[in-house]
Amino acid sequence: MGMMKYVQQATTGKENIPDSSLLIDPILENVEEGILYFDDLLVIRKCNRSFSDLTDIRSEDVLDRHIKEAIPEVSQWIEGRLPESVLQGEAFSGLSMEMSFSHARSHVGLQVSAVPVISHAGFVVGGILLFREPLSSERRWAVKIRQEEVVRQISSDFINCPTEHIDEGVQSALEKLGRIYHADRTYVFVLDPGGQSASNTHEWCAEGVVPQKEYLQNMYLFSEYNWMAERLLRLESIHVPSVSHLPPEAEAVRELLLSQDIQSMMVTPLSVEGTFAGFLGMDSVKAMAHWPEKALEVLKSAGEIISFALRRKTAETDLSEINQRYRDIVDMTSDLIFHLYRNAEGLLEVDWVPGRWTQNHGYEPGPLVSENTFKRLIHPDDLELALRRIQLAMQGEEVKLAFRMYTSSREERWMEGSVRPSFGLGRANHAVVGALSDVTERKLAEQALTDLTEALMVSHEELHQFAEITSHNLRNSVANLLGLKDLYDKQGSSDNSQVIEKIFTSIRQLDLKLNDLAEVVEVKNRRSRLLARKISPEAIFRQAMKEFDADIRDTDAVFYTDFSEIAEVSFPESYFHAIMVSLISNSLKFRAPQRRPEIRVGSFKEKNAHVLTFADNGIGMDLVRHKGRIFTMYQQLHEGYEGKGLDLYLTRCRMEAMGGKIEVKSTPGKETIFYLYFVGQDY
Amino acid sequence: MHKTDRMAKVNRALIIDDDEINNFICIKNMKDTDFAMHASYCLRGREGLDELRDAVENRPDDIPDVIFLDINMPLMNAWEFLEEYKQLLPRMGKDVKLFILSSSVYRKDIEKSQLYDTVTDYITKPLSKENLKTIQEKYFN
Repeated sequence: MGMMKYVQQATTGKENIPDSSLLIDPILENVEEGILYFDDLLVIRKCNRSFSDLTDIRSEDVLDRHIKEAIPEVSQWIEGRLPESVLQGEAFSGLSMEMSFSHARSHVGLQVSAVPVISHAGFVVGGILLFREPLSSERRWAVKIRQEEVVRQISSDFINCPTEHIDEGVQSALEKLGRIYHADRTYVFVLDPGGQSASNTHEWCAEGVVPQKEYLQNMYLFSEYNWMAERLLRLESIHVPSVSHLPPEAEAVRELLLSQDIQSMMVTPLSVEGTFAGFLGMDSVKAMAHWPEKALEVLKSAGEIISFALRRKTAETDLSEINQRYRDIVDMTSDLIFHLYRNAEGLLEVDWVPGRWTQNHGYEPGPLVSENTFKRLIHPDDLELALRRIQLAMQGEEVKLAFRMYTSSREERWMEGSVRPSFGLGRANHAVVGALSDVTERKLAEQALTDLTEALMVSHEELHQFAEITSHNLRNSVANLLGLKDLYDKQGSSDNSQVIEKIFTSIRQLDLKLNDLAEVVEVKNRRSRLLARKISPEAIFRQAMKEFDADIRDTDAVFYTDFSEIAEVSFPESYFHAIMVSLISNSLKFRAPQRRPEIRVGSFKEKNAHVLTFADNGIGMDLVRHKGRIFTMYQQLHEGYEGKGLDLYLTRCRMEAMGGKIEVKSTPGKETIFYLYFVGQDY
Repeated sequence: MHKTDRMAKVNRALIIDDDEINNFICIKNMKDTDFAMHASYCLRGREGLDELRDAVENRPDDIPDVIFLDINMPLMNAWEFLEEYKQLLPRMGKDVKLFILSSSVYRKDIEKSQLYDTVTDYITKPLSKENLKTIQEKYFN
């Protein structure tokens, strides 16, 4: 089998060419043997392309020259034997010899034989020399190896080729194929999206051959070039040795090919999973090519390799697009979605987190790489549990995960979601995927809800108590009035004066109770906060004290005050005044009879409050016995004292209305200390 | 001690309530209906317990047949009273009928009173003549 390169056809010496030259010329150009014709004067008149191919002698260098000058290598042989034999009309096909040509591509010698050319009249008018390569088994083997080498090279080009270089690989394969088969053009067509047309995606051209790629885009293969399309769809290769000899039904194909000056063509389908996806082909433009059958085999192999490479490129491009699209989508969420794995050193790594989350939490975009970074982001109290759960997920369980983590400005955010094992890339038992939502707002809302619920519970409890107290007290007066009404003698036969007097007493009691309740309701009114303004506790305390001038004189009570830590509070003045009056009154009322009353007012600051202390050395209270009753309505703990049991309840209500509180400590018989907590103050 | 003596089926009635008007109404109605031979009241739970204890120890004839007990009183309420009364009851030697007499129409109080074996019934104030007649017929006939 020879490697052939067709060169410009010789056109000289026409007068000596037999009449049947029209038939003979195409044959001459398509045989593997090199053919050289000389006339009876041993002047070379014609040579074919194979001659030039085999000997590497250009036709223009030998035509019209004497054979001895033109081809010195054969001259000796010819001089010795040929002229006589040829001219005597002897066929000497048996006379052959091997000879080497200095410039020939192949260093293997060529077999040369000679035959005489005899005219119709029986005269020898010239001779033909045939040059052919000896078809030794060694040579066949060498050729086969060379072809397989090409396939192997193309194949290995692709195996290690990164996706982004696949196009270059295809280009290189086209060039290799083109050069080995002396094609003028090699190319790849790929089906366009939609599959209705195909486009020339890669093209290689021999020197001096005009590229066609730009004219061969979106070719409607199926509708217009049916002859070719139906073969390719059946995944058959097509070999067209001579375009002009295509059958009539392939007229459209013929016209297309001829419009590109194509004389010979060989194409093989590209397929993806058994479906036609494009084709690989080569053309001969300058002349008809005489490609061996083996060329088609090589082309098919190359087609399979290129199919595979293109499929890989498509798959990887798709994958990369899907990956990008996925990230784009995930980037839109404010959630923390991540892939966490243990690297070769056994350290945790996160390779990527969504951009919006990163932005929302004040971090620079980019990977949160190291285990240290990762650990530093999680609240120390939550870290151990989080790591344990991640480990559990790595072992194959989907687990809930919740932790607090920090923004770049160390603000705490609550993250909540789940993690589950990620298998892939050989990371089984070493990787998890997770999706966590920032639930901080929800957590805060929950906290607010809890607070609100607690406040409602307190409110409810108070309402309950209020109803109970109303039931006991207000109704008590009403019940009395009802009872007295029944005792009233309408006939006037008995003395009604006692009953009437008691009716009036009951009405007065009812009025007082209603006033008390009105006061409670007033204090409970949340709008009391609006009354708050900056006040001086000491000044108001002094005013309140004035109301007890007589009592203080009578009891000889002594006051020690230190308002230094609470020079100013934001509080409704009327409330503060009422509270002071209640506490002074309480201390004087429950003074211990055997000692001089001492009242100590102090102040200190706490984390979230200004605290005022109010202590006395009075009779004290049994807080264990009266637990929970000190600051409730209508509680009287001591025998023999006047009072409605409402003052401390109202004090509590006033403090609580302002978000503060009141607490008490007491030792019976010794002392009582009230603590008033004023919150929401400026520091 | 305010007393009344009339012919009646109930020998002695004791009212324990800090509300003097209520006590006036009770005594007057008892008198009008001949409910008890003797009726008296105490203004504090502690005072009532002292009275009962003294009767048990020194004047068994003065142990009341009926007690009307208010719930909400200073220093010692009905429930605290009933805890100590329970200890005293076995020593009284008779089936004393104790009625909770309260202005409360609150179900919680009524239900709570039913938890005490020592409480016979719950009466909502004011104590009327009808109430007294019912008690007489139901428990002393």
